[in-house]
Amino acid sequence: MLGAVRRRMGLWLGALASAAVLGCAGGAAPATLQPAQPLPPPRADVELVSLPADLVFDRTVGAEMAVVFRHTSHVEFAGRRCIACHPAPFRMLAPERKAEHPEMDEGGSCGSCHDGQRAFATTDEESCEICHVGLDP
Amino acid sequence: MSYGLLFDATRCIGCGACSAACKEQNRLPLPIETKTTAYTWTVVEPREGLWVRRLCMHCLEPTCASVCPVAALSKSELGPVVYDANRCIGCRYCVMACPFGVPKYQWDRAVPVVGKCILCADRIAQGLPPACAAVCPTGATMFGEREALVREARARIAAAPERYVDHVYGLEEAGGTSVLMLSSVPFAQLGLKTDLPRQPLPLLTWEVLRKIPDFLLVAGLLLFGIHWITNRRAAVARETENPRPRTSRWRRWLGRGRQP
Amino acid sequence: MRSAPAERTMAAPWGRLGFWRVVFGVLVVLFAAVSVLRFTRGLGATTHLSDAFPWGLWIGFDVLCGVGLAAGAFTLTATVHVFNLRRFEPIVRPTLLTGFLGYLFVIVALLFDLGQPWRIWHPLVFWNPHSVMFEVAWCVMLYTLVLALEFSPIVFEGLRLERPQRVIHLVRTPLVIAGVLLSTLHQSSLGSLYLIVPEKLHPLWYSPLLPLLFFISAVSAGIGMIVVESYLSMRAFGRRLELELLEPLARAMVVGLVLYGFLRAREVFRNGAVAALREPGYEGTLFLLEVGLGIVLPVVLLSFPRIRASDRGLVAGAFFVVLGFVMHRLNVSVTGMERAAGTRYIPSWMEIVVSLALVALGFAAFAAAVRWLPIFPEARRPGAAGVPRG
Repeated sequence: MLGAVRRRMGLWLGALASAAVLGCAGGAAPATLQPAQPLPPPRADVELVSLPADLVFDRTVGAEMAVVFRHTSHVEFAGRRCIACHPAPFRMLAPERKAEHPEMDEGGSCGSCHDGQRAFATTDEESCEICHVGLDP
Repeated sequence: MSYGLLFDATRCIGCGACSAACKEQNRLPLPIETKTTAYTWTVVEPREGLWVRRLCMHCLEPTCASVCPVAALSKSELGPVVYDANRCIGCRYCVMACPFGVPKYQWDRAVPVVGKCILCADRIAQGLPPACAAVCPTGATMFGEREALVREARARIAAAPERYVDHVYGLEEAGGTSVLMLSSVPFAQLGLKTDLPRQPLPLLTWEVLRKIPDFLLVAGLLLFGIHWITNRRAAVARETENPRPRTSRWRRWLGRGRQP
Repeated sequence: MRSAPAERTMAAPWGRLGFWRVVFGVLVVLFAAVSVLRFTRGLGATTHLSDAFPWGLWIGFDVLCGVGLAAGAFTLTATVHVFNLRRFEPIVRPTLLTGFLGYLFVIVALLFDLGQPWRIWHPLVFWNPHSVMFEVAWCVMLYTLVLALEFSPIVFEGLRLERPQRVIHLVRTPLVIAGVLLSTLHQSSLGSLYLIVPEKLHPLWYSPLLPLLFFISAVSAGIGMIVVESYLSMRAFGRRLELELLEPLARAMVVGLVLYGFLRAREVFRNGAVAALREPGYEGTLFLLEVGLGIVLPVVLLSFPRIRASDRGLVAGAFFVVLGFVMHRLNVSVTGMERAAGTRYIPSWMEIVVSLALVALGFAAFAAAVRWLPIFPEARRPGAAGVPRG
């Protein structure tokens, strides 16, 4: 019985192999993903007409003045690349209502850019007033 | 009432806010890839000094919904082409057939499903714009009723004919789509297919499929007829050669009238 | 009956370790390993499929060819039971067996290819009559059932159960006709699958007539498979080639091929794809190979009565028909889709192992069935004589 299998398989393997070879003759290696090209910078010649309103963080702990976050001052800094800050560390559709120093001082939240290198550090005591501007600056 | 998006490539700056919001809204894993995948449903691609969005076009008569054997994909009344992962068997016919190359598959999972833009159907049902349109800082992606968007697109072209190619992409492509696009360079240069038929592609298969009931009836009767004639002929020939007492087929089957 | 080779193989089934036996063993072991990988790590880890090329060898070879090569079953049952040409009856059983195993092969391959194979029954519950795939799914299920019923009398005969044989015998005509209708739909619907990609499938292969072309070529290839299968049985089981039955079938095959070749040529001209044959590119080469080896060569060969009436000529002609058929299905599903996909698809070794192993298991099952069931007339058990044949 297995002899039968053997003989049959010989012919079939041949048929399949030749069909496979013919079916794919001249084939190159399957395309693989190219290493991602660095994307060109976003265009600067279009006005940003609908940036979100300023975000106010007014329940401050240990500070007198509320923090007002302005998109306008950050967007151009990030080269108009929204994905630099969204959706991580900052969500867009349901923005965080709190930003706390312990977290950002360790590199989270605002601290992911405000680390003393890319932008002034959140631990830099001379910079407090840059963010803590109060509700009516 | 059917909604859609109008994407104006002359206004897109390539900031990626749409991709980011999409990830957040649809709880998709990071990172934002450079091509659409099962995990990145929309991207902006640089072409010819412009940026162009890649996303599901939400066809008025979607090929994917037509080919899906379990109706996991469907066109909702509000416009989005939505996907029910619980039905999907993973045949990937939608991936193979979509004229815009939109549905993508989770090739890296043992229990994979399809990933594609669903035009934030839940948000639209709540009266909100899709996440990408909600966050777009330049208004390059605009949400609205499709009819209104078509009027808006035509108005933009009419107002600045030197600024636009005189064509609204998606108005007729593959029978029309809920996502419309405007551009200042020919659409082919943006990597969009311009050789698509103006008729919905599902017509091509439906023309064949709708004939099946008639085919079954006619061919079935024909085969029974042929069987009856050829058998009768053989029976007559047998009887003529070798006559024998008549016994019904039923009695023979019961074993009573069996011939020796 | 020429019994020498049969006895040699039957005498010591577990004897010396032949080359092919080792290959078979290795294949089955690899197959088991790949199966585990496939179902634990997913399609990406085991296949070269991608978003750009979502259908590969398992659809192109296992499904499209498996179904087509099983077409002999409905062709022959229709010949014998509808057209009442009873003299072909001796080859009905092995053909039914080939058809049944072919469909099982397709179903197992589908279990590998589907992303969520445990939902294979979903088309029964979630309907979409606009989908060709929905039609395909129903045809696979129903025709496998029909084939199982058509085949069951052979099993009952083997088990010497007479009453169930009579029940099946009573419904045989409707069963055969249902089988013919389902097969016609199924064979053509595999072609219809590609109707919806006019801008993706290369004009050398795209045609609004795809369903018809798939059907006609399947009938021809189904007959080709009957001849090839008879030849393999001759070699494996020491049987004689039933030339007096196969030769008229081969004539029908040639008629089918000529019609098929004519329609293919017409469609290529209508698509204006003749220019594609002169362009540099592998599509033209593969098209010419497919048409030359699979249509022209067998038509020419089998048009000579002397070649057709010889064992060797007949088998060679049938082999090329089957080869051309396989090439056509692979060209439609792979070659013709590559340009639009913008990528090349070469199956991974794991995809090839699964396909080869399933073919090998099919052969093992065929051999086992021949060993245990009355497939060939001379193997019928004496007690079962006189019972109506399936």
